Amino acid sequence: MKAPPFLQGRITYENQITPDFAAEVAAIPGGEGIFECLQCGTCSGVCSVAPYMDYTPRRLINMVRAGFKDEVLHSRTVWLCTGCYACAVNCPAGIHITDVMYALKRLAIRNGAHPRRYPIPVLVSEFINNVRQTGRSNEAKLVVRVALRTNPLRLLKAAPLGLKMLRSGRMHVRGTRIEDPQRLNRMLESVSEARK
Amino acid sequence: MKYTYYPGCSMEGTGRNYGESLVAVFKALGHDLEPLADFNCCGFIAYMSIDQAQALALAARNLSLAEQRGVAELVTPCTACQVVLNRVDDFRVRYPQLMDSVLSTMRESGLDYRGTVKIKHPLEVLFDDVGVDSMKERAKGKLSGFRVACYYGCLYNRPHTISEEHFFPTKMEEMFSGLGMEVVDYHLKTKCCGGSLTNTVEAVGLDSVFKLLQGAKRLGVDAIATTCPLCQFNLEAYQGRISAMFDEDVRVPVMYFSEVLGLEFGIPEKELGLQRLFAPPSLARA
Amino acid sequence: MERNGHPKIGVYVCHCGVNIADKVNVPDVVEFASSLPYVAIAREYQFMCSDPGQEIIEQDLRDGLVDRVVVAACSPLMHEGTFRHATEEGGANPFLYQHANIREHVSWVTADGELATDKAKSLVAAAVRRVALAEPLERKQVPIDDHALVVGGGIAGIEAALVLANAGRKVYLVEREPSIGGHMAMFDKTFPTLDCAACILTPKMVQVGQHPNIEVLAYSEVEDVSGYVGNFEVRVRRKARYINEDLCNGCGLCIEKCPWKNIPSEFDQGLGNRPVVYMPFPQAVPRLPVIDREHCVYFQNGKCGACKKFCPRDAIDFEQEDKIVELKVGAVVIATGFKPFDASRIPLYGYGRFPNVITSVEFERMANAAGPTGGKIVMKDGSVPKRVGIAHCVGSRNQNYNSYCSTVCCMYSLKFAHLVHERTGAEVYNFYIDMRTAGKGYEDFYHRLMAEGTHFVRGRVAEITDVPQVPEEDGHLVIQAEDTLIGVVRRIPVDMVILSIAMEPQADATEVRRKFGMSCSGDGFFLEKHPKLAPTATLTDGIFIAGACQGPKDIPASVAQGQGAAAQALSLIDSGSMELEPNTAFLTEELCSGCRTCVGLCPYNALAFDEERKVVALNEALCKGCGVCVAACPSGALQQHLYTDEQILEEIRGVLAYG
Repeated sequence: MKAPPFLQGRITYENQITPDFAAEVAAIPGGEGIFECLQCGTCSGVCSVAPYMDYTPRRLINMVRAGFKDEVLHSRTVWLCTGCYACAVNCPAGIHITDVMYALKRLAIRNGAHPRRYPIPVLVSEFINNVRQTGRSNEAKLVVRVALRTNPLRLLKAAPLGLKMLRSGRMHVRGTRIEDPQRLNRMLESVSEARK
Repeated sequence: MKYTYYPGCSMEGTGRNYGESLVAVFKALGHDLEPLADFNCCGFIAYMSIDQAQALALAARNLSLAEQRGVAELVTPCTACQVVLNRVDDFRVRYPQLMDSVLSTMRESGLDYRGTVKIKHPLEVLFDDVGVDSMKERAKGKLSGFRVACYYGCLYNRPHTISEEHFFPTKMEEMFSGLGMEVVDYHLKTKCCGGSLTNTVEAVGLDSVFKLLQGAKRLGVDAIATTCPLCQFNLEAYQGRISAMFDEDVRVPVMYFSEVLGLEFGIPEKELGLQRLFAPPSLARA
Repeated sequence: MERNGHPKIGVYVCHCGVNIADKVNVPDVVEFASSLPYVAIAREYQFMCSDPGQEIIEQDLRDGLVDRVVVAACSPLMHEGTFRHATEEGGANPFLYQHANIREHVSWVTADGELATDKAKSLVAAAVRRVALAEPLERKQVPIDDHALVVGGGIAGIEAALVLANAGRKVYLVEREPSIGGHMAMFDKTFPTLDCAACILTPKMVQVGQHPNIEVLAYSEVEDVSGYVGNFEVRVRRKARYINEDLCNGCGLCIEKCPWKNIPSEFDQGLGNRPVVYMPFPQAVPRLPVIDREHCVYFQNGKCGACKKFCPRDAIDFEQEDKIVELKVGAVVIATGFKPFDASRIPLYGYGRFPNVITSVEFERMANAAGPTGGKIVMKDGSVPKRVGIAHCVGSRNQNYNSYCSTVCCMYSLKFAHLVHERTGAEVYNFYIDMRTAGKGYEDFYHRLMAEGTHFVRGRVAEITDVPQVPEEDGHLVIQAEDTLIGVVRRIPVDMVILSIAMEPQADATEVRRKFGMSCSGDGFFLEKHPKLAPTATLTDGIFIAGACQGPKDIPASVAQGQGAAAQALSLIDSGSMELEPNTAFLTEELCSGCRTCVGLCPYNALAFDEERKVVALNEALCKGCGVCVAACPSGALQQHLYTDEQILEEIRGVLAYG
């Protein structure tokens, strides 16, 4: 049901939000404390990247609680979080905010809620591919593939640095793998199966 | 004594000189540092962003390998790896149902993990187990009066800390000042460097790094000492660009804490991989 | 069972409305009860504790249908007394009564109705068996000592002492510090009226000091407590001041002449100094100085002694020793106050690193006209601040420190904002999570401060730093917090930050409560008997609590509790005597082997060994029913009324026989 045109954007109606989103997030290990958030803002205050986020961490938690699922999963906030734990160790209500952010990242990916070429989820997916193939992660490969998928021009800009790294022996081009990546993959698959 | 360490995926790349200097320093103190064979990537922050249970299993495989080989203390140089590996035991306590499911599935693949492995950063191993007094015996006085800002990064002692305060740890400072160096009051020592943001959302990443460099530069230091490969790289690799972007010269030498120790012990620069640094310290005093 | 002839037991099963009846099949229990041996009558009723309910019991007794009573109902804590009284009203001895708890122990804790009914039946069976062995007993009367003890000379203790003293009772007021007054004596103005704290407190202090019924034992601590309600024996250590109280007239010459004036003043929170011989503040009661032995040169190496040389009354006595006094009192009011939170536990706030980050208590001393800065609000370098930040909730409402709200900080933070405006004209920023201004006149105070132009930022202070990010921040302290009402992170440069710290239990609260036999709640404050209906009583009869030691609270609430606790103590003392449960020990001489294990154990010296007859003799008048001798006696010669071995074993047999 669309809101009447003259009120569009000024009132959020209950049918525009997802009431059980809060419970969904709270049920994920790490999310259980969100109902006790005091909205004190300490998390935003200590967060080193909060000033760059569209919604501050505190605001995002309240949006989760209120059921603003779309806005939350489409936010830049969940992706900018570097996982530094400054918020979580300071939270007066003891909420595992960093784990909540990871949960929201996973939900955002599952819901396809980010722009296709947004670099951070691209990095995440390239990283996973690398690990699934070899059991390890190759930095050089990662950087190249992320650039190719998001902004190939960056590779040109990064070339001098790349050269420096090659010359100083800090770029491992070949890539290593563990003895049996397939076995690792099977193990990871069965972990997911067991959770169903 | 023989220590087993978890190299992580950056040891062969950006963190190469970190690994070299750590091995050299441990050897100088009479200890062997050997890598955990057939270790897999810990998953970094990436895997937890896709699948919680798999991410825990990925990390736990390393712990299982260590446990199988009788390793009680796994030395972990990269603080991100440290947090990821620690999370396994943390989640065992906080979310037993989830971990039971993960660990029992792993058991079926022959990867039993019973929770006996402790993760320790090499800085803590050197400080707690080896001891500053022991290190003083090897000190050559080469870095006497060396002004250093100790940068631990955000994950050295968050969220898990053995004995350090979450925002103002002191072991590196105590170690260095015990060896005759001059440590400065670097209040930004656990502010996040931006992690992989320098690669993905550059503006934010570079701004984070700028603040850290600016803070150290203003204190006038001979070097920033770091405890994490990503932090070290972020701080050293973009200094020219950042100085131009923010119209302020924030070029400061950035090295690994183990390289600082190595220099003090008189270990040759090549053994410490110093030639690989992009922003090396000037060692006129030496 | 046959010992007591043929008892006629009446069993009354209560529905307690739906509290019991919803779970337990009451008619079934009644039917079961009537099948038990010696049960003459079994009835049920909606509310046994009501008048008609009690009347049922009384009538059955009067009619001679029963001569012993069992009621299966709620907890004995609720109504054992009620039904004992009903038994007595019906003409039987009140101790021919047994209570079975089928509410708190059955219906309220058992999910399955069948299991609950089964359990109720077994408890009734047990009670029936036990009451069959009950003996008629007389309650003992003990006199109540008409002296009272108040521990703690802050505002709550002072108020308690005055109420008791004005009622004509002799009160001992024990205070640890050299002067009474507590924390209130440190404050400048009090909210919401902005009364000067000293102006309203000192008249009370003087009253206390001059009152004929109050004996102030300042610079003293309670060392040991023994006894029981109405008859407490308290040992107090009066610490040596090295001043002869009888000779000293408080002239203060010794203080003036003391050459060593650089000891950080505890009363001034270390902001100012005091001499080695000092009075904590000018209006001290008692008006006696004290010599700080630890820093006194005379005690260290025999030099100086200036105070002694100059004292016109020769009142300095370096040989003085601590004195122990033994007090006998009937009731005790504990009013030991609180400890301010140690702000260095939050490193991100920079307390201890930045000289101009201070706590609320330090600010009170600064603002106080008699304080170290003469009432001027200045930074450590003496200059006047232009911008002041006030951080609420420091150490409160925080799982990492104290999870409770300290109640008073919002109000005193507003008060500080006002004082800073008034005295410096500085811009003031209050950083809060919620504004808690619930008391009388408090909301109006909040509006006053809003109207004054205080900058309110709803956001808990995340960090206080001196690392500037923009040129304007250089040389200032910067408060970083999210302004949650706007939704942006702000950095606000200020010159000084006041931390509104939590109120915590005193550091030695555990020790103190153990001495007096009190419990504490999860946060460490002393535990009240009932959070709503008995906030100033404790679970130990005769011990009352008042003020911040029971939980964070403001001055009006502390005063109310002090006066209330005193009233309760008065009602205890004025009743003149107290009835004790008749659970004293009794001796069966034939079983006594003369081992004398019990003699040394009795805290009341009620047992003595008779050398001639080689058995122990028990003085029931001295026995307080503590049960130690009963537990220790290897032959069971000593038993306890109301709890004989036989009675307890029969009760157990009752449960087992059914189950």
